[in-house]
Amino acid sequence: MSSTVKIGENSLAEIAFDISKEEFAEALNVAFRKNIKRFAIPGFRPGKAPMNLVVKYYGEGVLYDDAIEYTAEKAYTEAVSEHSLDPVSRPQIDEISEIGSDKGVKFTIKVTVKPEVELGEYSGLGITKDEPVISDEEVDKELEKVRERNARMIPVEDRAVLDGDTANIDYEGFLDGVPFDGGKGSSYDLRIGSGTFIPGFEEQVIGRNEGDEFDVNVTFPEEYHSEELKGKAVVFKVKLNSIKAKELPEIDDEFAKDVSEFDTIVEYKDSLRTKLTETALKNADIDFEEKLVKAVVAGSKVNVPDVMTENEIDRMIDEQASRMKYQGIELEQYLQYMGQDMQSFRDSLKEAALDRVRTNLVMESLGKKLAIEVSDDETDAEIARLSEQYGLKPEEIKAQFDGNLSFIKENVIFRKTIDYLKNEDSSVSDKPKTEKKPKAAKTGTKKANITTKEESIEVVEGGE
Amino acid sequence: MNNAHDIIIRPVITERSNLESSLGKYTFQVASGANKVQIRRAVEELFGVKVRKVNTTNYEGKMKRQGVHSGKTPSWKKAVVTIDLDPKSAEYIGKGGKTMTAAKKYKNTIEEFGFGG
Repeated sequence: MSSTVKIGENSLAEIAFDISKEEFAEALNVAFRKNIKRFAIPGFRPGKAPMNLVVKYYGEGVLYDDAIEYTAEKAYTEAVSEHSLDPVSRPQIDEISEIGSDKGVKFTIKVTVKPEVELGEYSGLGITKDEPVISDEEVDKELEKVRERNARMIPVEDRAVLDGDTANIDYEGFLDGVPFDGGKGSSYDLRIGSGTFIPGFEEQVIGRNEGDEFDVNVTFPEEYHSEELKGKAVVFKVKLNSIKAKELPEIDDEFAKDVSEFDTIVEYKDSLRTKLTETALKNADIDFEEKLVKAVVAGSKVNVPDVMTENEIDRMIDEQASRMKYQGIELEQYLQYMGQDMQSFRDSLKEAALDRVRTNLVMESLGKKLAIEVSDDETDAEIARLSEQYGLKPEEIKAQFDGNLSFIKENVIFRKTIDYLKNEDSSVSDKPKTEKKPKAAKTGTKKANITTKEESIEVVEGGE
Repeated sequence: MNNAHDIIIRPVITERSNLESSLGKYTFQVASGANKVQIRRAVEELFGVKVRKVNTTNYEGKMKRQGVHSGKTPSWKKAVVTIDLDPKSAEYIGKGGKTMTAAKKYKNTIEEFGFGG
């Protein structure tokens, strides 16, 4: 068995095989064994006919399909390891130029391999990590949020409705003096300024006192969903039952005690600041990583074959679909709802997919170039991390990968590569800033690898 | 009926006959009127082998019915021919009592045994 590889345009490798007749005879034999039950020859029970008679009776051709499949698979695997190819698509038998038990087989297989990556600059990119500074205003803002969350509703009796109050009302709507469907409600808590009701309604409640009965004149908006009502002027008869006002807690030590384990407001503020700083640091770190990766990717040259992009799109769609299933939506339904078909959906993912593939390729080749190695300990640590993340036992994680830990190793390499980049550049960033900065900023607009969470949020919004 | 092709009609190919062929026993359907001597000569002539033994048996045709019509499949004769798997070249005593070996060689298989053979 001999094979020659020719790598052509678009990383399309053409492997030519020359299988000797002995090897092909073996393949024919395997093919015969596989199909033996199918050969019905008079005088023989199914599965009992000898090969020489089957070949005489049906002709050798009946065995070719399976024989080629068998040899091709074997030869292909050997060729891949022999020429250390990195296939990314399914191999396809391209041409069979010669076949026969007396001649052996000659055929070619076409397969797309991983493209060569021309690495650009990857150290001293001059990208700096943002040092987050948390200002007092930000702490106050956070505090305000907590305060808002801890607000209480206090009944008000001695004054009229103000903006921001919650009014409990009974109401009934009349169109030309006749009640209409869905225009009635009682003891409804309407927060003034929330915009829940049609425009104009809430404003007219302001200034009323508890126990008031009054008319509200409003006009339904033109784009209202009901055909009968849109654009119509109606009258609501409203009775104001009660008024409640939101009372925000005072910011003092008492408040701090209520919402946290701290005794004084100063301590609580400090803890808020630390928490905010931590988040900001983490974000800055992620941001830094992304910028670095983007800069390296942008500086490298790689010609991504279409198959890889398509595969990545498939993967993204799969991910998307399973996420949606989790929320009880089928992908098809979602697409229908969004007025998209599969093709346009795929097209919309193309850019992101290309980006992901390019990032992965560049990072992988960088990892190789830096000769980053992964020890068993590190693999175990990664598994432990994953098990914590998904709340599974390490054994379960291992079982999911089917004992094939190369995926985990790749992950570790990816991270170590990023760590290397970070190290390289943080040492540089101590120096005064160079003029390289704008380059990084320019490439910073695209989204790369770490966007999955955001995407899932988009989906939730779109699906509802 | 002296033509060898008229005597040997077709090989009988079954699991059993196929197995026995490796032991040098080849099974044929032969003309019903042929005797063992004729079969031996016909096989030797057609396949160039040395026949050691011929066993024959007659098969009575089966009664077949299609509604009220009844008929019979043809009767036939089967011959199991045992050939010499290690044939010596034909010898004869030539002039002056010398033993001569004929140029003719026997084969030790019937390669044609099979479909279309």
